[in-house]
Amino acid sequence: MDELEFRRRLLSDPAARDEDMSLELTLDPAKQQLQQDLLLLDQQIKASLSVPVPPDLADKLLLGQSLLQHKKIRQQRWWLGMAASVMLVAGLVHFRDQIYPWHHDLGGHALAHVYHEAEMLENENASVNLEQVNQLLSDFGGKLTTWPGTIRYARFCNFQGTRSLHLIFNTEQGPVTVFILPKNHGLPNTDDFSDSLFHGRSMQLEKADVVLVAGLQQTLAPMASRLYQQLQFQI
Amino acid sequence: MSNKQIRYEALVRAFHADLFRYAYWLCHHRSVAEDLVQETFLRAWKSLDSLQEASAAKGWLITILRRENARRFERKQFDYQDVEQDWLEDEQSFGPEQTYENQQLHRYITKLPEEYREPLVLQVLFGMTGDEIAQSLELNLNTVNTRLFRARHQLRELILQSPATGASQHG
Repeated sequence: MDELEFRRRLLSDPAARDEDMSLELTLDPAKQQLQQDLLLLDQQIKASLSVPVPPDLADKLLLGQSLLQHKKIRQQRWWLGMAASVMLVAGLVHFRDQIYPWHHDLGGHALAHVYHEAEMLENENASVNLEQVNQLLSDFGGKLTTWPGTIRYARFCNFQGTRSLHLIFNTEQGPVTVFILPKNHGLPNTDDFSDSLFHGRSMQLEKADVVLVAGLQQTLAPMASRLYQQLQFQI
Repeated sequence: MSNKQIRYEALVRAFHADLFRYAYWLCHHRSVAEDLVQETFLRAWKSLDSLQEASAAKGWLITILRRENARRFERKQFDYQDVEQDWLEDEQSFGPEQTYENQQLHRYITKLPEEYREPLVLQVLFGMTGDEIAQSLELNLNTVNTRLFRARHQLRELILQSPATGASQHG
């Protein structure tokens, strides 16, 4: 090993202890001296490089991590909450058909409301007077000038977000349910419809849609024509 | 405390001081160095699972820190540009235990080219071998050895030229 190579190796790593280097060092006290100088220099370099470390750095680092962890858990919880909400909504949508049979047209809705107020169909003694009915009808701009029979029930109800008037008229054949809906109800019209107990018909008047529902053995035509004549709209 | 947290705390305790010093010698600024170490350990926490062996931890953390430092230049080039060029001496960095010679040497180390200083820090401060340094800095071993040689050679020259140190050596 020549002098230059020895210096190159010693200066790149004064602490190196391979065989070649050890041999060179034993043979030459001057080289040993150089090594001692360089090892001393390294100690001084190390002392100089060892700048003071902020005393609270380790604690800060651990705190930073625990805050990050905390944030992550909160984020996970947020997602968990979100996921639970989505599942709940999905569940409700899925089971909605079983809880509330979903009706996509006017006839279906009308039948559902009839069943919902089925008690009123049995309650023969209930009655409302024409004035009360007209008060409710005035919301649609409608009015019944006269009515030959009695009226059992009159109340607003909600037809999938649309306010409509639910009426039950007494006729010789039995009660007939009539729904008055504003034109913008948004449900597909079904002219005639029926199920195992009831049948119904819808009429499109100029200002409102009217749906009639009665028992299967009852006829709807007389009621329909009478309403057509008596129900007047002012607006 | 989870197993991951125990490992993390051990890493922080074992390496935060040397990493801070290494960061300081990369950026010459204590608060920037502190930020760098914070970023480094947060990244380390996020990918702690990828660290398989404890013996690789040192090199792994250094790699993360170097990457963070490079990112800092992309992000904050304008913030630190003036500091980098004009302000290289930081009196705050001298601890009470540091002698005048050490302070002098500190200045000389500061004057070394970055490419010489960095392997020297890894060798002297972290006790890394030439191969480990080569791996960390993505250089070949010969280049690392040459740079280490030049770093020490330049420091010796500076010390020998210095009147104070020269006098003390002869005295």
